[in-house]
Amino acid sequence: MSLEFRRSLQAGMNERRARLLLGVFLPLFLLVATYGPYLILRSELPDRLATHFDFSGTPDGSMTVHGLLLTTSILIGLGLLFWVAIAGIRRPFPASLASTLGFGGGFLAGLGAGILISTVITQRDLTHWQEANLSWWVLLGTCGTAILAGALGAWIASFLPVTAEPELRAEDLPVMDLAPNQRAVWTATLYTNYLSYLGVGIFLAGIVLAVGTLWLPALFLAGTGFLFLAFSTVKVRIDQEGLQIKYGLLSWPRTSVDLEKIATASIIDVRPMQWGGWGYRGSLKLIRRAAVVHRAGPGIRLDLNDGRVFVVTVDHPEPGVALLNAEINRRAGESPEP
Amino acid sequence: MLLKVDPASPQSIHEQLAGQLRASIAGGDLVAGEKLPPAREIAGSLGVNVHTLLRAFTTLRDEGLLEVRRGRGTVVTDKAPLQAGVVERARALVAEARRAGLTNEEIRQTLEVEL
Repeated sequence: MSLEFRRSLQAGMNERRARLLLGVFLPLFLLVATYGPYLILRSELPDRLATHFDFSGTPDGSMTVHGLLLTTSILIGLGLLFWVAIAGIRRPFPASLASTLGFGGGFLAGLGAGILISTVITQRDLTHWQEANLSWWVLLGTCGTAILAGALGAWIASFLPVTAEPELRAEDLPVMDLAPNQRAVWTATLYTNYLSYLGVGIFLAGIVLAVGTLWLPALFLAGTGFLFLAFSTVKVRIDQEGLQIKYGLLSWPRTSVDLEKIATASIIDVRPMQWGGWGYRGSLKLIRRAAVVHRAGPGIRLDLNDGRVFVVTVDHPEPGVALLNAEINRRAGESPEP
Repeated sequence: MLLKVDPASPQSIHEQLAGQLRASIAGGDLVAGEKLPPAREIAGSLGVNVHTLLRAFTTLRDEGLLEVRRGRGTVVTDKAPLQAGVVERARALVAEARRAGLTNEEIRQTLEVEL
């Protein structure tokens, strides 16, 4: 997505439109787009539909048409309920909570819609459910629909009002004394034991399955294990360039925030649920807020010049925050605003 | 871990770094078994030559506070948190002894008697 297009999208959205989209238009669109094809094609469907497949894509479980309709409608209904609820609640939400619910709602509704539509379209004209076949593109398309609907919900929900941030106290905004020629670096590592054990365990389970040639679940488990391992360690480094985070034992992936983009750094008491839970939550691009959350407790909060917010949990963040603020001041002193 | 270098200080850069590392260990900021970030990275952030930082690491290794494993990084030794304070006092002791005009031999003798 080009930067200009994204800017025009951001500019075209506001709270009122967000409420209308999440509360009325998107749910209506989703209902029509899902149940429309179903109503048109229902006469062409076999009595029972294949709803469960083994790893070769051969069906091994079935449901009646009404059974599938009920199951998917529960997903869709629950998802849309999330959307309508956050659109209807007038009270502001703390931090990223609205976007988290917006993502959850979109994901559930998109999943239900994707399953229903793909099943109806691929299984019409069959006489028996055993003839069905699950292809890769259907699986990917359904997951993709769910994730896209979730991302859309999260983005729109990010325009709903957020509770006023508590006033920053002076002790949350420390500034370090740095002489003109002094250079400093601060590093911290947050290591979560249980995550790395879990990661290794899941990764090994993946390898065991791969030996048993169950490739699909093996890949899934190995990938999940890698993700757990990646987030078991967070290494933060702060210097005159800004802040850098390296994840995991491989020090990859990485995130960095350049000093010139940071307006202020502060110490924050992170409450995971407000930031969407544990892990890498949110997205600086999509909802303009992101948080690397390992646990409840102290962390570093960066308020960027363009209003975006980045948070990372880390123990004893004071020196790091103080160093960042000192470097920000030094930079501002070197190149005063025109 | 916080490291600062000040080119204007009369103390040499590697002494500044060694002193701060020692203080970090004594103060509990660096704990036993903790792996230090890659030397190249830290040196880059501080704008100092990597050999200057490695020289500070070597000093602390000789004092028994760090274990430098080639290719595997630098780790705080198990005894370091308790030992760092002793090393700091030993350095202060030597400095005071020199001020008092004692020779190295006399300093060793003094310690020998206490042992």
